[in-house]
Amino acid sequence: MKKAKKAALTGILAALALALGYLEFLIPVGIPGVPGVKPGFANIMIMAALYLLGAGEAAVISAARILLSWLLFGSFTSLVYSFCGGALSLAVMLALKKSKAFGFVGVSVGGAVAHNTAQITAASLMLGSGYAFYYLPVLLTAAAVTGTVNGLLLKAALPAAERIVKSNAK
Amino acid sequence: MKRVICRAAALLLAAALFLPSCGKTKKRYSVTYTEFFDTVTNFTAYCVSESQFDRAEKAVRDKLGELHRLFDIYNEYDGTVNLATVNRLAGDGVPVPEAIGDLLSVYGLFWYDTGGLLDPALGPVLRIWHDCREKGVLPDTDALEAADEHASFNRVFMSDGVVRFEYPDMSLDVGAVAKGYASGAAAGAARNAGVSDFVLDLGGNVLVSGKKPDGDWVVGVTDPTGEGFITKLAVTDASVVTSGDYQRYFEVDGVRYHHIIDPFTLMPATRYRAVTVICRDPAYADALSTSLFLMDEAGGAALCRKYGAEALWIRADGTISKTEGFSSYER
Amino acid sequence: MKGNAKRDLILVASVVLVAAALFCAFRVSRGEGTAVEITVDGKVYGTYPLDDDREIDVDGRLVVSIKDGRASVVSSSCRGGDCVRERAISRAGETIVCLPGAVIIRVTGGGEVDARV
Repeated sequence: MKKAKKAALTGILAALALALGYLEFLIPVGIPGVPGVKPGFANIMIMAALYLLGAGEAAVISAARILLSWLLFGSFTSLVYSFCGGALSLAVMLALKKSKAFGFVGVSVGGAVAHNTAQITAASLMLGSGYAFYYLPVLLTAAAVTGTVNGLLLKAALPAAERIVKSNAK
Repeated sequence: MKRVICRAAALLLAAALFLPSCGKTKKRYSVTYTEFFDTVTNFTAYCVSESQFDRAEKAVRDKLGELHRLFDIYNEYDGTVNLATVNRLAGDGVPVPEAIGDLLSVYGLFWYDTGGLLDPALGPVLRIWHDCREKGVLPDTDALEAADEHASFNRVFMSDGVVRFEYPDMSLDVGAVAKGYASGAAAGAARNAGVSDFVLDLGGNVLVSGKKPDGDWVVGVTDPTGEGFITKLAVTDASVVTSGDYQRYFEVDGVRYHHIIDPFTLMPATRYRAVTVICRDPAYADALSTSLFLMDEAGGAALCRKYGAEALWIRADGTISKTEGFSSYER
Repeated sequence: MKGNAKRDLILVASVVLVAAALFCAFRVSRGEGTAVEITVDGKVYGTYPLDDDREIDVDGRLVVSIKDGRASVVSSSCRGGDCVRERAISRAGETIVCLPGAVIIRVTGGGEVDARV
């Protein structure tokens, strides 16, 4: 793949990730009584980058998305939580993908679990108390569900995306 | 594919079995009695159902009632030989129920270990102090000395379940160990009824069994000088007992006379405001707290080592000292 | 089913099982609470009895309401407002966390001590 094309694709995926994140913010998909649980569709784009482009590009997209959404509609604390979540999530997804033992769903769920666990840990550290872990069971269950959904969506969409990328690569 | 579905089904089944078991949580139940041992008794337990608690509570109540009657030195009851019977008749020898024999054996141990400081045969002396406390007057020194003439446990003979006094005017008072012994027996009754996570509090004589669902039971040690607690103890399967000068007392001319009488001075002991003991055995815990209240700290600490107990002394001047292992219970 | 899909399934199932186990461990029969402890930036801001109905303005960050023995967040200056959507809490150990506001609202109690000597 050409460098310019890679850059363009990275930009497109980052924009899509940002847009999907914003969409979740506009239309909160929540379960009554358990707020703060989001589908994390943006992760589909980061995983797409991981499979189509590479770890570096995925990291760039993840970081860009977090920074931009912070600039557009965030607070500093949310930036810290997001970075912790994004970094650990990407690391786990990369490891699971490299192991070649898991499919899209496994990688996606692993990323979601890592993301939520990292955010809780960051929150506990910043609040100076472990009570935030009270949410962990809820967030883990949510990660299993949203991770599965995102993994299946990616599985359905990726072949098409791959064809487009390859057909234009000539 | 089939195998995978089987395994997934097995996992789901495991989860399904697992979830209800955690949903069946124990609830806290509590009951208070006022009819035993001249004190307020509280039984608090975590049980899976109210009927389970009711069974345990009845077992505890029955056992406490039975022992209350056996150890009562003021009233006799039809058809039972109790300590009042013993005090009336033991000049000639009285066959006693097993619980009385057990209780006196505990006294035997501590009478020996304390060099006679913990003495159940101090009955006639304690009787005088008891009457004076109710009237709010000071006892007559000559009367106390007359009552003390035969008041020694080495004049009480026990063999083959028969108790005999050397002199018929002797009498037993088991107030220092009776509650501890009874709490141990009642705890056994509760466990037999299938309840193991409970606190049985006989007016400051606290037996702790098992745990609360969210952690250890917590026993507060009363601050004799104020409202709050000196410290809080996290204990499991042990008894915590305090002997203090604030528990039963009367005042004459601004001087406080409490209920723990030194058998050598025949007056309330003055070394400490309170002594708290933690010991696995409820009867020993009770005996130790009174013994330690009457002893110097070094002797008390040695006694604690012998019985695997820990102690906290609040001295008359308000300063505090503890055995080495006491702090490990503090939270 | 391929090996990867099988392992995916096992991964998802384990996550759910771990969540269920944690859920059980955390929800162990909580007694009725007696007070609400509010922590701001890791420091205790105040403790309020659960049986007095009142509203507490927590440092301008959010407003906690205590009503009928239950505590909830009625308004918040934080962006997400997740804490406002939390259900009311009343049992010892239950918690509402407002991450952006760095506020923790926790029910304490179930009795300070179980017995005294």
